This record gives sequence, C-alpha cells and structure tokens, in this order.
Amino acid sequence: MENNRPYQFQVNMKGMIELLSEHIYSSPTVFIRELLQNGMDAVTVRKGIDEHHKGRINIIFEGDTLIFQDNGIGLTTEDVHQFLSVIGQSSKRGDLADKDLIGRFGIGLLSCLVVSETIVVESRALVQSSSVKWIGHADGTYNVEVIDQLPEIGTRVILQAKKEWRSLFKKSAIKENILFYGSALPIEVNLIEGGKTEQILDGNPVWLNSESTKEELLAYGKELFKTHFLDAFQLHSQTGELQGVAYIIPNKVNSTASKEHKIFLKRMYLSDQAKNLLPEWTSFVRCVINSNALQPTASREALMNNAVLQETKKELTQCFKDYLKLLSMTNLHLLEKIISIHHMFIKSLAASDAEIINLFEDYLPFETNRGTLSFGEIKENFNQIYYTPSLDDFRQIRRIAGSQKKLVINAAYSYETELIEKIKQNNSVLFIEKIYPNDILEEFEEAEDTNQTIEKFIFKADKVLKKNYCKAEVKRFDPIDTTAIYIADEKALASKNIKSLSQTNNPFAATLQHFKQQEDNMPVLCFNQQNDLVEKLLNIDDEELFEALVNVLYVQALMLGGYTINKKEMDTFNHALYQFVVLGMSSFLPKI
Amino acid sequence: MNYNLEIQKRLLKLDELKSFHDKIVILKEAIHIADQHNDIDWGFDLRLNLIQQERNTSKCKESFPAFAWILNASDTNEDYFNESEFLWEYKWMFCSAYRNASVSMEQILEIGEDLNRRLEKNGYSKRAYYNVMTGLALHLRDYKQAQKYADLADAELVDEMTNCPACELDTKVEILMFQGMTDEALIKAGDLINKKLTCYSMPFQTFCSLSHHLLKKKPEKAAHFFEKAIEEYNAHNQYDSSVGYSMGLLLSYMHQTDHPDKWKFFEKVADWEIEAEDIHRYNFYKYMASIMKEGGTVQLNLSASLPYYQKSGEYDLKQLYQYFVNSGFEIAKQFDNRNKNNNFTRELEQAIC
Repeated sequence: MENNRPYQFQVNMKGMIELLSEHIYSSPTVFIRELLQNGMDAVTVRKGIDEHHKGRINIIFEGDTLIFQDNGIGLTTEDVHQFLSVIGQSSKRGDLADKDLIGRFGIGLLSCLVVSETIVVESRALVQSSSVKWIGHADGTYNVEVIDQLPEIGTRVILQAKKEWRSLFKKSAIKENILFYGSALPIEVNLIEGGKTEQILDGNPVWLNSESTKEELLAYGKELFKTHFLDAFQLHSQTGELQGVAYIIPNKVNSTASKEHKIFLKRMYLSDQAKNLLPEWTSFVRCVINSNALQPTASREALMNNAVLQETKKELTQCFKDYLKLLSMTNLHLLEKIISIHHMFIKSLAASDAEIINLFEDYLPFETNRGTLSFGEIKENFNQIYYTPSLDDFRQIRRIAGSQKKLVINAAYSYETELIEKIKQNNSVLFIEKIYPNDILEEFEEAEDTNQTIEKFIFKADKVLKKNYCKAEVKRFDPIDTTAIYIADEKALASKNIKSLSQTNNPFAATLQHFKQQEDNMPVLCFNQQNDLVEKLLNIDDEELFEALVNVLYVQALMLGGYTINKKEMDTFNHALYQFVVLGMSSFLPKI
Repeated sequence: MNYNLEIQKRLLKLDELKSFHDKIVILKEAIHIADQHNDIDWGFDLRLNLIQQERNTSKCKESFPAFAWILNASDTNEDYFNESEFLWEYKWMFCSAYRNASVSMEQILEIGEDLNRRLEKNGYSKRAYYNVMTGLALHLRDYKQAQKYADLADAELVDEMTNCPACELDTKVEILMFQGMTDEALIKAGDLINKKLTCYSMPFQTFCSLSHHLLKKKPEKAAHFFEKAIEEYNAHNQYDSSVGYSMGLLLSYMHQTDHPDKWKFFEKVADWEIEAEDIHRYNFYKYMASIMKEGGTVQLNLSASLPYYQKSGEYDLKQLYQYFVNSGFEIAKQFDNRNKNNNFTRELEQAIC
C-alpha cells in the first residue's frame, strides 16, 4: 500500500556544508588536513599489501586549481560509489581501519566543498585495470565515469577555488597549512608549481626519532614554539601508543593561561590543547605529542576522554617524575633552576606525591619572614621552623619574629600547609611547628611584679580595652622604645570584626554571633614594661588620664601593626587626644 | 605605593590564580588594605567578589561577615549603593543561613523576609524569593511545601534575580525524586538530560541525582545517568568543592555498584569537608559512612590536614566509619534541634542501616 511505503531521508547538501563549516570545523583550512589524511590512509592500505612501497603525496598548483595526488591503493568504481558518495560512510577496510587509518567518520571530503564548488576525484586502483572519475557537486549530486587509464596507481583530487578562498590555494598558504597539519606524517610531501618540485616533508620528524640528540630536540622546539627552552625530555606511553617531547618553559607561567601544545593523532595534527591528557601541574612545559591509540572527537579537534586517555595520563605523569628524578642525580643545577621558576607547579605535584616530596623537599622555595628560602637552606640554618596557614597571622608574626630570631614560613597559599605537614611527617627529627601570634607573647620575658602593680594595672586596663574587644598584658620585650604591641590571631581578628558587625541593624548581622570565637581568644594589647612611658603608666591613679593614655597607646599599636582602625576606635583616639589637650592647657590657664 | 594600586595589583594577581582558596586569601588582603583606608567603595566591591569566589567552594566562612558588612554599608549610606548589585548574593546568603545549623529558624525567616522586602523595593517579582523558600522547604524535607513554593514561583514573572531555568528545573526534578515519583521526574528532567538547559553545574548535578535515586528501581537507567555524570565531570574539570553534595551521590552510587574508581574519587573529595558548611559536612558524612561500613583497610593518598590522616597511607575503614558516623550524628542532631524534627537523624540512620 502506498501509505506503508518507506521513504528515504533527504539531505540538504548546502545546509550540511554550512553545518560543517560553521559548527563542526573551526577553520576552512581543514580540507587540507582531510586531503592529507585520505592520501595517507590510501598509502597505508597499499603498504599493507606491499611493505616496500614508498608513499608520496604531490600537490600540484595550476592557477586556481589544486591537485592533491597520492600513490596509495586507489579507488575502484565500486569504492567510489561506496566511500565517496555516501556521507558518514568511513572507508573502513577490515582490521586495518581502526588501528592504522586516520579517517573514521566519512565526512572528511565534504570539507572540500567549503572551499570548492566541485570535487573531482580521478583514481586508478591497484586491483582494477580501468581508471575512474567522480565529480561531486555542492548541490548533492555526483557523476561517475570510466576514463583512460591513469599513468600511476593512486588518487588525484582536483579542487577549483571558490572566489573567496583563492588565497588559500596559493602555494605559500598550502605549504604553511601542510606543515601545520601534517608535519609529523610518515610520508614524503612535494609541492609542484611550474615544473619545479619542492620537498617540504620527508616523513621523519626529529621529535619522533628516539635517537635524536637533546640539541636536535631543543633546536626543533625553538623552531616550533619560537621559544628558547630550558630543557627537553621524551614522553612515552604504552597504553596511548604515545611518543613525544616535553619542553621546559624558561619563564614563569600563569596558571590560568591557555597551554599550547602540538598534539598529533596517528601523526596528523589534532589540536594545540592537551585537555585531560596532561595533568594541571604540567603547565611548565610545552609538548609535542603523537598518539596512535587515543580517539578523536567527531570534529577531530580534541581527544575523547575515555579509559585509554586516563591510563595514558598516568603513564605521562610517570615520565615527568622520572625526568625530575633523573635531573636530581645528573644535573642538580638545572633542577634547582626549574624549581626556582616553576615551584608553584612542582609543589602542586609534590603535595600529592610522597615520592616527589621526599626527593625534592630541600629544593622547594618558601616565603619566610627572612625572604624566600629553599627548605634545604631553612633546615640547615634554623633548628626550629615555624609556619602559619593564615596570611593575617603571618603579617603579624613577621613583624615580631625577626627580633626573636625565629624563622616563620608563610603557608597561606595552596599546597604550602599540606607540603609542610607532609615534610614534618617525613622528618621526625626536625622541629616544625604551627605558630600563632599569641605564641610570640609566650616567649616575651615575664613582667616584674612587685606589690601587685601589674595585676592592678591589668584589671584597670582590661576595663578600658574591653570596649574595643581587647585585653591587656604586660611583658618585657625589645625594642625598648615600643610602648605596646597589638596581637591578634586570624580568629581573634575575625571575632573582633564580627562583634563590631553584629551590632549593626540588619537581620543578617544577628546571625554573626554564631561565628564568634571564645572570649579567651580576644586580641591582646601587650604593654612593654621596659618602656619609660609604660613604667609611669603603671603607677597612674587618675582614672581619666589613665583611660586616655591606654586608649592612645591602643590606637597607636593598631597603627604600628598596620591594622584597620574602625570608626569607634578613631572616635576613642580623638576623644583621648582632646582630654590631653585640655589637661595640658589647664596648667597655662589663668587661675580664677 | 598608593593603596589603590596596591589593591589593583592584588586584583591582577587574582586573575592569575586558579585555586579558589588562594583567590580568597588574596581578596582578604585587598579588603584589609581597603579597610585600612576606610574606602567603602573598594570594601563593597571586594567583599562581593570574595562572596562570589567562596561560593565556588563548600565553605561559607568569610561570606557571612562580608555580607553583613555589605548590608550595613548599604543601609548606613542610603542611596549610595545600588541594592540590586548584591541581591543575587543575598539569595546565596539566605541559603547559607539555613545550611548552617547554628542559625535559628527565626533568624532564617527574618532574613528571608528582609530579602523579600528588598526584592520588592527594587521592583523584582517574588519568584526569586519563592526560589529560595523552595530550597528551605527541601532542606526541611517538607516536599509538599517545596512543591507549593515551586508552583508559586512559576506563577511569578521571571527577572534577573530568578534562579536560572536549569536550576529551577533541577529543583523540580529533585522534589519529584524525593517523593518517589521517578517516572514523572524523568519526564520533567528532559530538557536537562538533553542539555537544552545548562548552567555551571547543570546537568552534572541532575545526572548525579538521577543515578543515585534510580539505582534501586531502574539500575540500567541509573548506570546510564552515572556515565553521563562522569562525562560532565570530566568535561568540567574546574568543578570545585561546591558540588560536594553531588560528588557524595556519585560516590554512594560507585560504592553500591562496586565501581573500581571509588577510592580514587574519595581521595579527590575527602578534604572538601574541612571548614565546609554544616550541610555539606552532613551530606558528606552520611554518604561516606555507608561506604566505610564495609570494613577492612585501604591505601589512600589523603591530605595531611584531615583529622584522620595517616602517614602510612593505610586506613582502617572501621575507624573511618566511626569518624563519619559520629560526626554525622553530631550535625544531624544540631539540625534537628533547630528544625524541630528528627529528619536528619532518621535519614542518617537509614543511610547506614
């Protein structure tokens, strides 16, 4: 019955080409990649029959016409109908297809219609006595005819440049793109124009030759990435059937910048991004890599994230570790240089790898109150090593620790605390302790207290300071001219901030009380008993003068320490100054 | 150096940093400089930035005081700051309030009303308010009420304060899932499953949720959504600890299906509990406890900051189980006291039975 007749889907070829050019392919130049790929696959198949066959691709320029000619297996009339005329039909040829051929999706040739109105394919197959000509048009139609036997076995693809793409068909542009896409191909590629032949690829790239010297690799890296690299080392992975070279970048790298590599799949260029293939911490290298086992996405511009890729990533991680280990034995100077430039990435690796941390802990640099020092230097020069995971705390401790000859590491940024705690676990003989600003107080000399003067002073000063969420202490410390120092660890400062904010009038502020720390963790104003002014302050009885002096010393200590002074504290300070002015003036006013 | 330049220098560094922890450290430094100079404009912008960065993590330690400061600065300098600039963050902060077990229900509702008032004052519809109230009802495990709020939200106009369509739809799918209406949930999730609607963490979170909820009833579908979730996870390798809840669901799925990468994932997320919001810690403990229950020992590469860190890398799962169970019940009790029910305790008991 007519109603039950099955209908065939129709494909709008023009729409399909737009889809390819605008959505699947990122550049019109991909037709060069696709033609190289087809040529390479045809030669691979022929080599399967005759292993001594020497493959070759010739690109011939005739005005706006471009001829891509390979000496591969060629196409029979049947092949032409099957492979060239059915979109989405890959030219799979048995077991060889998945393993050795580059093309997979059967949409490659369509990319030629982005730049040419028609595609003419002339081919002489190894296994057929006649030659065949296929003409594909952008409107979706095609013609096939038998033609006179071509002189050579292989395939010629003839393209006529669309007006807007003529510049792409020039020899210089084609050469540039062939070197871009196909520089790793194991095949000779020649450009022929006006009877002159120029060989641009010999099929043996230096980076895929395991016998290449380091100098040769570095020279290649310099040419490829236009960078004079610090060093180069080879990469390999059995799972990914991967081979390549990693080049150490000679300058600091921004961790968020895009990492440009050269990734080849079956020796055809795939992408400049190695997303998911290389771990994040490898940002200090640029790699040129070829894999025969990883899979491309349909656009052939990225790698599929599958189990093979994950395993390959692990094996590549091992290559990096092996290289760093080897350097530690053969070229310590270079290792130190690499770590001094790229410590951020090496630390990231070390934080998650016990073996690396054991090997490199001495070379890792840390920011300390005495400048940036390697852990080896720290270990050698300081018996006691302190660290703090809080930047606020480091800022405070740095000011005080210097006079106490203490070494304090700033471990506020990523991996630092993790690394130091792991180093501590590995070195039980070393003294490595977390330090808080209040610990510094503990080490100040105790105040000399006769007649309970200090006790009484603290009682009175606490009453004044409590309004500013602070408590008093008296110690003896250097330098003598410092009257008092304000000490608050990160939590105490946060509590002070919360206390001040929770008094504001919005429903959110009321919740802040839940985040406040215990009162015993209040900031401390530590008075210096060795200071003359403090010595006098300890014995002042006048309450008004006492309060004014304590408030002035409090705000002065905040200023000295670089702390934020809030409006209430500023008002207190101004009020105290006013009291001093009044007190000072009172001696000069006429007596009534 | 001029303090403005000092702040700008830190903002430039901020762009170079990848880790959210480091971004927060640098922003706190910049805020410190702004406050030292009583610059409320910088103080306002930097604190908003800080909240946005912390939002990408499982923590909400810095955002509470930062947001209280912003509200205060806006209220005490009337007409100086535009409230619309922080109402989106206010929605986040409302959610953080109920995710914190020590914030009372009265305070939560008061914050909700304040948010509602400010939304209205600035000409926004009530949809954003109903969005966050749906979240609160889900937190209270009151699914009928959650559905009511979702319906109320649908009846309101969409504006720039409204949750994104992907998140709104994911919430509706969750409500159906929690009520056991799996077929309806699957139909509802269509636009997320087919990626017609996407955002930062969708459909990753939807896939995690579907794989977890469907495991018992429709294991084949669950396996399909699990694969999809892993695909999304791999495609967005920048996911940070803010997706901790979904990672818990994934791990739970991996455990129940004896997935070979279970411990690899555990290593990845184990330290997300450090200083995390109460609700993140509760969810993490709940799903991890059931994993640890199997007993035995396992070799793990974990952060030295974890309370149960072992230098040898060998972990006794019985001990870990005890740690997760105890910690889980502790928070569950706090939530139940606050929420005046026993939903969290009961849920945890069911998870480990």
